[in-house]
Amino acid sequence: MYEGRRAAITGMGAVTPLGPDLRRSWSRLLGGEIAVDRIRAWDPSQFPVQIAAEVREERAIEGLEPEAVGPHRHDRRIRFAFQAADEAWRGAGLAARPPDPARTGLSVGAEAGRKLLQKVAADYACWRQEASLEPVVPHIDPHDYPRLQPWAPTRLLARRYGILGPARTSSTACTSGAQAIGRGLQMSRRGDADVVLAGGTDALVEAFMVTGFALISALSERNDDPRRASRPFDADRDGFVLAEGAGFAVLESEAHARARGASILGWLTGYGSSLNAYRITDSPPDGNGAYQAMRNALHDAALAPEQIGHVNAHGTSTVMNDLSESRAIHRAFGAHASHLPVSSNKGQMGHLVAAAGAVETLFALCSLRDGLLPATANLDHPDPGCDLDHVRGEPRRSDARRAVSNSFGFGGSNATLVVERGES
Amino acid sequence: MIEPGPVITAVGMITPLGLDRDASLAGWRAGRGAVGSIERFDASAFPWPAAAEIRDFVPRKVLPDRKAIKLMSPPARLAVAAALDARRNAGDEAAEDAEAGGLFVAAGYETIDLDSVLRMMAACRGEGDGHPIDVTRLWSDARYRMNPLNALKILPNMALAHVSIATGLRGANSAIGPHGAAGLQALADANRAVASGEAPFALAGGSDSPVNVFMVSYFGAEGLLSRSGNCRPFEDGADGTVPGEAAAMLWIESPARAASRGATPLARLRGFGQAHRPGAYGPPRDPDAYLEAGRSALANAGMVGGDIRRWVTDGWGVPEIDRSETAAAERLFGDAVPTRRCGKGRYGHCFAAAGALEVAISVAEPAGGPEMIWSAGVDGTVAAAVLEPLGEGGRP
Repeated sequence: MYEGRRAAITGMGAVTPLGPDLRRSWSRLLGGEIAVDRIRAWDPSQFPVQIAAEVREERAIEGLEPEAVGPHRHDRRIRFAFQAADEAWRGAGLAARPPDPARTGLSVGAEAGRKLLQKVAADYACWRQEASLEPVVPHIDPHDYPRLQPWAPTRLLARRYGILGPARTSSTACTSGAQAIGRGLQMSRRGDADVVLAGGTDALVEAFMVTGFALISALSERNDDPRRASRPFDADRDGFVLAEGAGFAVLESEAHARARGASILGWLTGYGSSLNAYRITDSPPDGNGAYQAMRNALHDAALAPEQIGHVNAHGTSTVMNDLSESRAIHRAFGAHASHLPVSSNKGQMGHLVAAAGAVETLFALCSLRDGLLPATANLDHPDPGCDLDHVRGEPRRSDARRAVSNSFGFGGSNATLVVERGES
Repeated sequence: MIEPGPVITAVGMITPLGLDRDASLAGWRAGRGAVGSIERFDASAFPWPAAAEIRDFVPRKVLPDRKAIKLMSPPARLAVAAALDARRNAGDEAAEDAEAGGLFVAAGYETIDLDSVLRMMAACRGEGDGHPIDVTRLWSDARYRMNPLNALKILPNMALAHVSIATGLRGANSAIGPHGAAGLQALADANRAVASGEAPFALAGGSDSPVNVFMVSYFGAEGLLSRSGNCRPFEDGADGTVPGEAAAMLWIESPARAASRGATPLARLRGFGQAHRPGAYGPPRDPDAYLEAGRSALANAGMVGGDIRRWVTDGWGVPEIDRSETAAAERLFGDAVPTRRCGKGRYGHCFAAAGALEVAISVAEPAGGPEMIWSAGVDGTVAAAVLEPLGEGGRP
């Protein structure tokens, strides 16, 4: 029963503020590099938040030429998705031996395209002044609508890899990427597809979103010291840091992976989700929604809490998230929580929002593979309310076999994934 | 594959035909149509004049948290109204274990909160022609014109969040799509979650409010909207669809749970299939896409074409798409193409709500046997579901 319930991970790819691929991102994460800096994409000097973790190093890959992606070439969501998915797809050996298109699925976590939102708003601004729609019509690019949609990356990835099987888009804010991988696991378990490309992509470092998140005091305003701005679980944390990027994995049924001789990098064994039903801005202080997600994921993987050796936390560096997640970890893991190593990657690369859960799940698997748990950056003075076994200072050696990766989103969606070390 | 177990025990809806299930079904049974001139915004500059709008909906009369209403996009408001209607129709005891209840919502989202953004952008206008907005002035000149929660209001999962808050459902969940196939996908997800034990019951469906500048301009420019203002699927002279507003939510639970609380199973989703054609934007014009989705749904249900008593069409009213669908149906059902039902001529194309709305109507107005329901999205997906009526609805 258990064998059929896990999916083999045979390919992984990422583009993050730390690096243009998973190998360099992971290496720099372990090396303690920090990618938070003053925003360069636009002039932030008039904003209370002037820092972010931007992707500044990209890889040139086939298919990102303007003629291939057309009007999407300015959409960083698409660029990141293509780069990360390409790394995963090629790494799984699927570029050389493509799978059956009808037996290949796609599950993508994504938000709307926000750069274009600025453009659309600019197009429509004259409407308000003229009190009539008529002057607007010549400015309308009707294809802005589909380009803005969360499913635009899904459609383009399907076209790129010739995927004709089930295709899904999950849009649950910061949980999108984790939910997409969880849905990929379910597609694999149900036999809907032999191979599933699953992950998340996002690019929210733009003025409109910075304004919105700054207005609700969600972002760190440590503009004078960007490298120390994102500090999950630290007593002096003051908000999260917006980031961008993408992470994708190739999931396969074990039988399919073995039949084609694929290298099994790890296993995806459990997925749990829940809703907070509290407020659209905050998670409940008792961490109940996060607890439910972790409990459901452990149940789904048929594991006891003691069988988990590492938590890759959501750890956003906001006051409420880190407190409620800490309480939830204690509740989910009981006595085991006191010696269960916990890391958050966001101290170094910020919050990748719809891509966060996907990238961090890949990092969790890299931790198990290399026997090295990354440290939580800037965790100088742990908040007493976040009394966990934090990995601090340097990466910690570990022989953990299984880890969980947490993602909790605006709007109350929570997701936890369980990964297990592979065979190579 | 969909597991066959779960049953549908209640539906809730808000449509151009009525503000709840009973009013909508009364309108449907009376043969009423709700397509009229667009009143939601000044559409005089567009050559696509019509929509099926919900005109009498006063959110503060229906939604429990009046303070939250201003934070809800139109699709979120409709989703909450339909969800509360479904819960009411399911009975008070239906949500006793609400915390474990699954929630799967395909909702259009407010691509842009136009009023708010326009107020902000107007404060950031630069000098001269061309790109008139200086976004670097958003904070200094425009932040007081923005609701602090606006950045959250426009997130695509806000309908899911508001339904969760209004109903207390906190279990397995997803916000799907949004596109025309997403409503059926949400029902399939809910069915799977209940069948697998991930949730003891689930509320699932779709919601959309596509009567806005963005969607009308896009769907119009794509050649999908009617210039005559009439949606006439499969008829000679059909020239496109009209956008419609609606939400439909279905209560899905295990047969054992339904029996234990004395709820009557109304129908069951027996099979689900989908096909994807990620070519140009727009619904697939390829008959094979409908055919593949339909075959997959039949196989999933363990049925053959001859088992289907009614075909609930996607029926856009766009001749090319209607011909594709017809060709696919003729190949799927052979000589025995079943009775056809198409509602878009009366309540428009409700996009992310469309598939769930068709299922909800079929649950309430059963054909006396299994039905095949098709729904396609502009992302290139075609979804198909096989609905089997239960109880008295299953009688011919």
